[in-house]
Amino acid sequence: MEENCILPDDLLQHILSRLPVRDLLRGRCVSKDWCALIDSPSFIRKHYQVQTSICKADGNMPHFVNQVGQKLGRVVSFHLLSIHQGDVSTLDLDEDIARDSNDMLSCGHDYDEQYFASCNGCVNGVILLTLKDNDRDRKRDCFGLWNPATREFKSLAYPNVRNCFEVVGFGFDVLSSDFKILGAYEIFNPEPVTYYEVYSLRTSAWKPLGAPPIGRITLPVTDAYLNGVFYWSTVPEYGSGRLVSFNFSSEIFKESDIPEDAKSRVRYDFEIMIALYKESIALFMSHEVQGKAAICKNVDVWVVTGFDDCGIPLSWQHLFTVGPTPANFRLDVLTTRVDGDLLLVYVYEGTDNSHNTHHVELDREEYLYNPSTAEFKYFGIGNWATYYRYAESLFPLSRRLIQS
Amino acid sequence: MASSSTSEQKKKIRLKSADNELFDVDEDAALQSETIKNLLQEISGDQIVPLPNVTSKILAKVIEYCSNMCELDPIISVNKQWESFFKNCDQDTLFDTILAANYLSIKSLLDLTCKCVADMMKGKTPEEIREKFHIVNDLTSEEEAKIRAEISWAFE
Repeated sequence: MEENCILPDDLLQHILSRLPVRDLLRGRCVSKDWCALIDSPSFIRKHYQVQTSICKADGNMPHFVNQVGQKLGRVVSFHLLSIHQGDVSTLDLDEDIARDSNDMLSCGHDYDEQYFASCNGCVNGVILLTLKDNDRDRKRDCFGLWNPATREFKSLAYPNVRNCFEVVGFGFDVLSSDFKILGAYEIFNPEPVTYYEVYSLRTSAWKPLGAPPIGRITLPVTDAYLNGVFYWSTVPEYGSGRLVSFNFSSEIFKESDIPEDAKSRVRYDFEIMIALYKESIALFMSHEVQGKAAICKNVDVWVVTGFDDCGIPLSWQHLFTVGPTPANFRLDVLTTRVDGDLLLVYVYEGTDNSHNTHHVELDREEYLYNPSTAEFKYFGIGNWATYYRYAESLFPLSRRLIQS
Repeated sequence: MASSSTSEQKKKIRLKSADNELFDVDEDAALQSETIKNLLQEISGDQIVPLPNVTSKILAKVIEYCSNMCELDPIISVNKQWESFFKNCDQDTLFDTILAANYLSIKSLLDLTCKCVADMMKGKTPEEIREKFHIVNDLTSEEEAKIRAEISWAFE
């Protein structure tokens, strides 16, 4: 055999970018060239891009989901859910936290102690978690960044603010190759004013952003992030919906319009949702329609057909309408599949006479909806709290911090 | 659907391999290569397209692949047949085809052949990869031990 089996670097990259993370971590000790290539930032980005496109080509990109349960030691579990095939695999956070010996959670504490964890987003294969101690003093509350593929975990402290602090967005600054977290807290003076802080993994520090004049934004339960920009919908007043975006590179908030039809019809913020749809951002609006005997619900879907350079939507297109629902049913969109199918939940609402209140959730069932055939397929009862698209990545969190 | 091409004579492109063998290829098959497409714009009329980086043995395979992709068989089944061919051919042919697909800029062939090599690497130990692909380990034993210790779980 001749020695011509060694391919040029760009072709070796092309081949290695198709391998799972576990093979690449082992491949780091094949030779110096392999190690340098696998550790290089350009390869790490290319690998994630290829892994994502392989998932999309198969139409089977898993969602990172978490389920609130009553498992002893932790009040939540993490899984990868294939909405395509309906199967679920479990990821083990505890073991990865334990391996990071410098970590705040395990340092001086027994990590087995009870804590609550919730998932706040997934970007480039890295997951953001909020970890809350069962203790009342909240001293050990922290955030965690977790790459389940490299099994790296890094905890980070809350910013130094007194009030209740919540994550509202998680993204990647493509210009400086940096993971960033956007969080918010309120100060009453006496009217509530919302302040924002942004965390950069590169600087390992929180930074105040001041108080941009936008309505209240909250973290969505599924992806609302595209190409370095995060999107939220707000309803500052009755009959007026707005879109808010945050660019993780410029760290600037922008407000923009939603489709006129949706804008004028929306009344409450729970009626609209912004989420990733195929390769773009879509608006899902639930509204009431008059059925034969009762009020029914429709969900209208608009998709952004053009963005400006800062990622602000310039044009929208109405794609389709789901519904109307039978009477007494509410229809919520949970997430979208890469092929465009929607995961929906039908919530049967009744009147609870003992409390004399309306809209009591009596039953819920999940369905997959195919927009091109308008068919519903029973999916089951997942009861997942959040849904974020996931593909394996090599992005490092602390050991080998990525250079731009 | 297939009627248009049967009545007229298909246009042929003449390619010349590194070892000076000539190949007459259907234009639509040849145009799958971005490189040939660009070369055709530079040269005039019915000149021969020289491909000094591809041997006749590999060029014959590449042309066969491109012709197959043009036939209106389901592309997936064509791809499956070629995947099984590349997985069973000798390593030199596979690597030379990767180099040719890269030089000729035929994306689907490059993706397919790279996928075949990646599949050969999947689940292999570093020792097995070094042996199979003739790679010299230039890491010191300390360096290798350090890398292994960092991710010991990946070797379990």
